[in-house]
Amino acid sequence: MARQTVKQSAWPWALLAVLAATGLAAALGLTQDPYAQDFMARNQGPSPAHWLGTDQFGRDLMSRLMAGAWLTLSVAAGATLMALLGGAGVALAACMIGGWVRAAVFTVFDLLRTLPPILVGLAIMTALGAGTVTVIFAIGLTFAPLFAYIASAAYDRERLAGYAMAARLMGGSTLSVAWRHMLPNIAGALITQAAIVMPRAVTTESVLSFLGVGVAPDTPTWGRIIAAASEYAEEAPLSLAVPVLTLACTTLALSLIGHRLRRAERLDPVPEATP
Amino acid sequence: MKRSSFATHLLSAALMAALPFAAQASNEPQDIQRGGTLHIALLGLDTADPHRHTGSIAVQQVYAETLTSIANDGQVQPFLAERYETLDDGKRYVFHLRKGVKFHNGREMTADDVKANFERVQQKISSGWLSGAMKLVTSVKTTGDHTLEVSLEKPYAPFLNLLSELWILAPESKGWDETITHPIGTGPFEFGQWQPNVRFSAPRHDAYWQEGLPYLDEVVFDLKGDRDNNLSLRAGDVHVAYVGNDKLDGLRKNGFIIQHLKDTAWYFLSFNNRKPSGLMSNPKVREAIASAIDKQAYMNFVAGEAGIVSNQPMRPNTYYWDESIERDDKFAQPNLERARRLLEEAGVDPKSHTLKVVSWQNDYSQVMVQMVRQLGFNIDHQALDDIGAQKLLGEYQWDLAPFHSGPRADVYLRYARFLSDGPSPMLWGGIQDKELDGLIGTAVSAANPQKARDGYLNAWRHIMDKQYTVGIGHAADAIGVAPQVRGYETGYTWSQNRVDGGVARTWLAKQ
Repeated sequence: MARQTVKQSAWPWALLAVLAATGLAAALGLTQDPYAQDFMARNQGPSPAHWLGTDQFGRDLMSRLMAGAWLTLSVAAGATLMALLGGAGVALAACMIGGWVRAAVFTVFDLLRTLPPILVGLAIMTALGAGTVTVIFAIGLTFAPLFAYIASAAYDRERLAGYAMAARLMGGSTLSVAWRHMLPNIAGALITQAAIVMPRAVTTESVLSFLGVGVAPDTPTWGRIIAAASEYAEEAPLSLAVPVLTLACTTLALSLIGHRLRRAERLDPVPEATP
Repeated sequence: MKRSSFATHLLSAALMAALPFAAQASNEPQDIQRGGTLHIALLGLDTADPHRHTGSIAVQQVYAETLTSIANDGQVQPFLAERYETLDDGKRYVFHLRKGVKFHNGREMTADDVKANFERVQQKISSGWLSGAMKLVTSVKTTGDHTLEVSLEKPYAPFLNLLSELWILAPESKGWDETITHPIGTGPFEFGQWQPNVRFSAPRHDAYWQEGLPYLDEVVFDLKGDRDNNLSLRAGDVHVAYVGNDKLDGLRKNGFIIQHLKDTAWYFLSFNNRKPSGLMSNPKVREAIASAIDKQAYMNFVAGEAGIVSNQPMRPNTYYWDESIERDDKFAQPNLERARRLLEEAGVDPKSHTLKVVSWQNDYSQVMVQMVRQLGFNIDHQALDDIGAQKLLGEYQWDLAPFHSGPRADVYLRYARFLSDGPSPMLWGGIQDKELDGLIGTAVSAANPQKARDGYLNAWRHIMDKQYTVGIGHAADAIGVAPQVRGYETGYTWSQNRVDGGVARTWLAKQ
């Protein structure tokens, strides 16, 4: 049977490329200063000077969105990476040790998994205080169980595979077998999971920022931009609509990419094509 | 002279009490509609024990009243006291209490009750707004069922004004010996149900001592504090609410009435004075930061055209404000060149320093952050709610704190925060300065208004010289009032029940 292919569209990749490019431009200082305030130009609509208008401080909305792309995506990517390395790493180590250690570690993961991500994020932020590193840690910890389950399932499956058993029979230690033989075979599943987690990390970061527990108030993350604009939705609706749409399109694009990778990895049952 | 303490001293022997109440009787509107629930969203309620409060006074005055009251014009007037006399050059006060004032449990208030409240505050409240005054009280004696005599160690000018925050409660209030959990007061509304940071309801006190009042059945306070009151007003969820300056035009267009508090809030930038970092111990760095502040732009952002620029804690053209200090303000205009030169002279490269800023979540803190950031400093800004900010401020691990402080019943209550043992001193960086304590002490015990004024101004000059804090300006807080609300008038402070106004005289017109 020929493997089913999902109809491919380039726009998610194109959007991500544009966001990455604009974020990079902002990071390199090629835009207007996203922090610069102009009290004579508060809550203004689009103009040649400010293509997407300004916020309640007279700050250029476009440059803040561009800077926000960099901040939001880098925080989400950092958190996803942390969740991957932390969740999968701890889970694999626990699987290799086995016994009560594995049971204890997965009890903690189970506990984390039962709590809503936003609640876990809020609790961690409240305990550790605001800051970019704390946000990455909080979101990373929230999503770590997702990688842990994938890693443990893949480990159990691959452990019984012929190549792994052969490697062990040839005298390979548990660690070397896992590192040299099994990890390359489960990496694909973990990377696919990362693509699925990434849009959720973007949303979680934005919600934490929206609630005011993320980064500093004037940091141009999308959540902060949306929270600030929501107070002036009547006076400056565009200031709210543009970042909301940007966030929605980005999470949609990331989700579609994750979905395709998931299917490509055959993690989902794929329905037969109807003749 | 606009402020009250000494005028009151001079006039206190006169029978003042009858005037506002006589005026009320004659001016009472004819079409009053009784009943209904007034929903209010102003400031919070930090404790059920009024004697222990450190926050705002926007709620507790509806159920707990005081011997004196700050009237709409800022003058102190008798309230639960029918009249008072000041004797021995301000070292002795005799209060003649109103007769027929009933607590919410139906018992009549007597001088013994008032004495018990003085003693409770004196013995059980170690810090707070009244602690300074109570330390000077040498005796509280009852000389009759409705007469009380209070003696002080020495004259204390703000005494009568401060008594407007010494709430008189029945000693049988639950928790009296430790922390009161259900206060029994004499106010027009009773202490009903309190859900901290959510809601407080106060049902009508049927046996209120002011005949015919209150008009309403109940007052309900929204204590959540983080909502957009502009929308709440327009949705009909609240009738009276604290609103930001940038929402006023929209509310007016929708038929709401905008009132302002009669006194202003003071806006300032404080430095950490108790545990300053090495960087912030350098006077040139403090001067550079002060030079970066564009006070006019800042106050315009806060309150538009209603913002008043001033380098002093009392608003311009009032008795305890000084024109020459204002005129000589070297930080009146921003001067970034000078600021950068000062940093250079101090050998400070701002790019290699991160300043920790603590604030509430008000937008104006971001304006301050950006003004300081212009000098090249990195900024670590923590914007928190009131409790979170107070906790962080109290740890003194920060550099800058842009805040504002609401209207005060007396000039002393501004300066009390600068004292080494003052109430909640963290907003001003926890100043520890014996010389300053002495200057404020001189003002407080001065023999006449002019000397008190000189004393306070000397204290302020000292604060400016030491660069403890930078005065930026003043703005009156705005209150949105729904069209069906009648008889509501903002006061000098946030108090919602006072000698000549408040919710006792408010009623709702049926739509």
